[in-house]
Amino acid sequence: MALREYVLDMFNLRKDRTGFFRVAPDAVPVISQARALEVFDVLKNMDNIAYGYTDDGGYARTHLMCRNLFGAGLVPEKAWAFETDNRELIVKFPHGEQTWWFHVAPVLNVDDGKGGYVQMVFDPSLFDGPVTLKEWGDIMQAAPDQIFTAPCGKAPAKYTGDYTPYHRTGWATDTAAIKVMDEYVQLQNEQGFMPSVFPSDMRNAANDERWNVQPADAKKTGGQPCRNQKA
Amino acid sequence: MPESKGVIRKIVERDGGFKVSFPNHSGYFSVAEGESRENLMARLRDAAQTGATITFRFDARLNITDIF
Repeated sequence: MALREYVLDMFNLRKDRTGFFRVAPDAVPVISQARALEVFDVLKNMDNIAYGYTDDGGYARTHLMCRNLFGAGLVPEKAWAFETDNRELIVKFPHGEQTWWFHVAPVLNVDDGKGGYVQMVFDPSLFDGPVTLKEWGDIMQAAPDQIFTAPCGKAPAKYTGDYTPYHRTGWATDTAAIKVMDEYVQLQNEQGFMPSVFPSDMRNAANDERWNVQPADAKKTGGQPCRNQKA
Repeated sequence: MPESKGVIRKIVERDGGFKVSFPNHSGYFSVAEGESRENLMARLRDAAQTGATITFRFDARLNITDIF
């Protein structure tokens, strides 16, 4: 641990805010892949979140999504991506390039089908389903050392905030996040911005499985898996 | 148009482009085209040097249109 991080922890300068995120007594720490897809779709359909407005606001989106996930008896953490001095976070959307200095999204533990679990990122502003940290980083052209995870209420390494990298969750954070999203939903609607997302491997695999149990339908369209189909 | 305020984190001037970031926003902001562009950029450079908190208004594409 670097000296600076050691000092931050020693004097609690990161100010642990996990108390603002109550974990339900019967919370589920790991969910199945099928449940993960369902949860993703619930998040994606939150109409108070501007998923189509990607210029800014990931911190507010993530805060509100995490509130929803805790309320559903889950235990989200946050995935953080940061630019470096010589490597910005750049997403090449079909409609244009997006540059961020940081990005954040909820993370849940998802059963890997092999007796363990994998951390998956739930980011409906970028993908059509849950993705691994690597898929998430790759789409932003981020190297693995630019990606971090931290529990809700705890700042990622080298930073002091858990809401944004320099702002901690407090009593007014829910209101602040809702206000940001209200403004961005308005911008999104005024400008006609629509979510433009990339395919997730998990979603594709689920769609392929569905396709496999419907061979007759597969024949009709030449047997190609239907990408980006809603689960 | 939304308003925000903050201390400038970083200004990137490269290949004729001008981008500015703030600790409380993930996206990079630019400066709206127009007569006041040079003036706005100068004020942003000054604020970055002094560490002053600025209040600003921006459009849907994160172009800063006014500084108060």
